[in-house]
Amino acid sequence: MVVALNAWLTVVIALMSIYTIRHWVFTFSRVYGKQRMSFSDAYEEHPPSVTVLVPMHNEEKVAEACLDALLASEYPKDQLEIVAIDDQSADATNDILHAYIERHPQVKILTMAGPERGKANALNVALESVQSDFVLVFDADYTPGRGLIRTLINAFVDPEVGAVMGRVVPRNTSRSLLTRLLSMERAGGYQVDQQARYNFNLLPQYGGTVGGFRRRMLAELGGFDPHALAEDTELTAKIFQHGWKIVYDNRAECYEEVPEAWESRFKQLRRWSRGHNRVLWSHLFGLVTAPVLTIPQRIDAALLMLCYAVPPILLSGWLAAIALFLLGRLPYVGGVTLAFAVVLYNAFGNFAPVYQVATAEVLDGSTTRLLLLPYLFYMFPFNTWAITTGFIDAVGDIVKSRRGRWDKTARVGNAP
Amino acid sequence: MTPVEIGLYLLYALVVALPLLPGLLELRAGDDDDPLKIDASYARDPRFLGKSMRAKVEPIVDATHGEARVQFLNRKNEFALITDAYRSPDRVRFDDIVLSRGDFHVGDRSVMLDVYARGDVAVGAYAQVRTLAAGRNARFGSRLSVVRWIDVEGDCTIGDAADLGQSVAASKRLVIGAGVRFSRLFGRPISVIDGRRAELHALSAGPLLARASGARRLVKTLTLDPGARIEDDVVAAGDVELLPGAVIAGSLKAGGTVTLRANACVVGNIVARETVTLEADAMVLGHIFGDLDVVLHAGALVGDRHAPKTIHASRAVRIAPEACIFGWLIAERGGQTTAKDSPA
Repeated sequence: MVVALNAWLTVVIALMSIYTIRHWVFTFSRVYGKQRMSFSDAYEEHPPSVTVLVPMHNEEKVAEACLDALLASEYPKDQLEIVAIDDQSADATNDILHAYIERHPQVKILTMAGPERGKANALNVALESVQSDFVLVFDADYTPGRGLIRTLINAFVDPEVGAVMGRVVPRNTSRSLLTRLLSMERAGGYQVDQQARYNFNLLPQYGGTVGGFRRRMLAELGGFDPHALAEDTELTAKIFQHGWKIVYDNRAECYEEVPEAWESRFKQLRRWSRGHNRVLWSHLFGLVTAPVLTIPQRIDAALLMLCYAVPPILLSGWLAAIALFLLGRLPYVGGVTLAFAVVLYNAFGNFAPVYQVATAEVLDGSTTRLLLLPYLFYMFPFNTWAITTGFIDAVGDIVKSRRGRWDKTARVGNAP
Repeated sequence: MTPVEIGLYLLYALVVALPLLPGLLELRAGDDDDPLKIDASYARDPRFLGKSMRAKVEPIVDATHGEARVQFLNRKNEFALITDAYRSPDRVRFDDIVLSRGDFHVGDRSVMLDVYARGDVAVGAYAQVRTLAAGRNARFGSRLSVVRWIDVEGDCTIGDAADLGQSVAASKRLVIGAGVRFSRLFGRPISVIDGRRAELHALSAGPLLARASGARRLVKTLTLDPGARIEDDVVAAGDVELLPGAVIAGSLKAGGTVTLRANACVVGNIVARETVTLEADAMVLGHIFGDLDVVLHAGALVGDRHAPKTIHASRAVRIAPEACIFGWLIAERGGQTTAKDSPA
């Protein structure tokens, strides 16, 4: 028992050290490294045909703002198709959409009849009638700027690129402590983490909310798994396994609405964790053995896939350490070495993600909000627990071969 | 619990709480709680600077009659001279911004701040200009120095050995001389000294314009035989070389260098992790994105009269005489035109 606990604790410490190093390497790349170009500057007077899909389920508070923003795009109207997918909304979304197309007939509505529900299934159904070369997907709480569609589509200049992902920027930052902390988390995740992965030619992730893909590629990959709760992560895994690439465009920024209630955030994180960990189960082996990927890409694939498994692993490490302490069998490394390790880890390990967030905020020119950084530590146990519950859900799904249920993130609707 | 222990616990609580206090003040004050600014109206345009200036100065010009001197856009120490037309001899030095309803002609060694002219512009040799927006054609002598940018609503000709600052854009033809340094150029087309050779060559290559179906071919490296043709997109892990007359009808991605020998052609785009070289009379009808340099030899052509494209080099661009580009040319670390056929 003690040997097993010690072994597990060692594994946990090793894993956390690897993630710590990763955080540092990414942060240094973003500050001092060469920033890899995107294709924003591609000048195109005759851009290709694009279909924008906006899946909606109970989006009455945000639906119109999103469609208004899409209609204001400077993309040539004859090359742009906008499809709002009403996925069995129980609120007034369907009425709002029908009233909307009375005024704007260029927007199409696809009403999902059921019985299946969920974003992946809705996208698959919508894609059956899409003819455009490229497909962009926005969540309904997103308000893309005039040039965003063109910026995203420019990524497909590269014939190796199968998908593109833009940067998500919270709009409702000022609403509460939670929204301010989420804004900082998003900054760290996109401005530093995604850009650094793109810099190193690793695996930037297709996020499914402000991005798109080649229609032909998705058809080759068999479409989305209709039961996926994290259809974006699943598509990311399939794209890289089949030799395609994903471009992250840090200049393709788009506002979103982040949860304003802790309960809503808990549900969102739990769903992400559940969906992501199911993809981990189904795609980890395929990714780390994919012959088209380089060794660094395979390592990054493993770390990306494991990121929502780390909190429960960390939690188990804490429990192992407590158990060993209570048993009086915590491994003795030696006074000076232990002190050294603890000090080093506290300084550079625990703080690595915080430095990443701080770097992102400095790059964005938002320095005063750095005063809130200590609050991120109080977010940490909350995130750990939410992700762990999602992990447990995923394990249950896999063991019982059951399908997950799509828990909708509640919208507040405060578009500018 | 002893008072000492209570004191220690309180001290500990204080140490835990202390880092949170500045954040608490920021939460109450909300000094930095706005979302990251995104300019939702922004759309990328290579002629953005010129259009933006015109939008600002044209109301000022329209609001005055005859000659006038006014404070410029509420800038404290800058004044604009508004005139119907302007013509001056050599060596004139402007302390004011010039807004002309007609032509603007200045001689050699003139030094200008911002210039806006609705008519033609002619500037002599060895001149310096901060910004210039011309409403019709513009002609600049040799050794011109641009501090910021030039935007021309018509044809633009620039002499040898100029330094073109941040950007020069023309809505029609942009002809630049040899030994010119630049960062960003836009023209339909941009040519060095004379681009007719490349343009005539492009006209004779009409059948090449048929694009591939979009299938993808993965290779390690590729050397395409003379006159051979690939209909698909090509993704290569290493270097790619198209021998004389070879054609890729789709787009090309290379993990290494891309070299198009004489008369070779890529109908789609080229994206390369290293240098892209177009030798004599080679042609790319799509975009070129190079992580290192882009080198265009004599008669090389990029883009199409009806579909301008972009050359983007993360490092430098070198262009020989008689090369021709329809569209936007961006050299992140500077570009240069050469006097000889071989710019390498």
